[in-house]
Amino acid sequence: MGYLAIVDRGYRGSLEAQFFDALYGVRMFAAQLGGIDLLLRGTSVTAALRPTGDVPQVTLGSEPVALSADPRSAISGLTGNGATVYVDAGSLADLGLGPEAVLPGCAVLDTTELAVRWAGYEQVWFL
Amino acid sequence: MPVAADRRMWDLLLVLTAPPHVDDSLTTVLRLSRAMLDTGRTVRVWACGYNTMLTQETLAPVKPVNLLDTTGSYPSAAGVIRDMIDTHRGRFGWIVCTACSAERGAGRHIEQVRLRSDARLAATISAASRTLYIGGA
Repeated sequence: MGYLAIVDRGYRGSLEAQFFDALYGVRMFAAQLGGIDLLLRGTSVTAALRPTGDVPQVTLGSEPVALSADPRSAISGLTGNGATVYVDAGSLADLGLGPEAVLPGCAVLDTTELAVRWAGYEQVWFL
Repeated sequence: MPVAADRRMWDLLLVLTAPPHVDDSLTTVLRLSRAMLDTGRTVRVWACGYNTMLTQETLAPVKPVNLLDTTGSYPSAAGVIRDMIDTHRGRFGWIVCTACSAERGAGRHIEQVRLRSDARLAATISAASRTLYIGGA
């Protein structure tokens, strides 16, 4: 039992959101609810990718765009607190990526297998 | 005989109707604006729809506190827009559509932006060498 949060879309406003993105919400709510598992689908799977070299910084002219969100550290923060982070295999494949591309501690599963797991949660949220 | 008044021409007008907090349209518009400004050109943004919420006077120049990093300070969109206008005085303009603003109850705006009725959109387009419409409202 517990909570499962599903995030389907990444990149929802770098400049206006900054730290205040969907994963920030998951981390804040998880602290209040005793934990939330996370399922990344669609473009949001990029939050769980291992960095390959330097992570490019979004800039405004020569300056960084404020302090843009750090999705990898959000994912590591969740797994570090014992949450399960699932990554949809089909969404990764759509980007030409496989399970080896994701951060340690994340579980890459088939879309149908992930849907079957919803029943194991008290609540499933779509963020 | 009517005489056309000299009208200032801007190099680029960006009409932004794509709402914020949905995708990276606002970020792209500001990045494109800044890239134009850095090459010496002039840019105006026409902010429509929910973008009119971004420059309200009641918004602080910084975002609400990040509870996972309480020492951090993050500029609000209003703060970023205000600084861009102040830094590029006369070369970067931000127009707020009064109809969209009134529709959303966004009454008072930071002093750096200009309020303009949607009835003047065509005139604003004709005062720019080029217009890009970033749709998605």
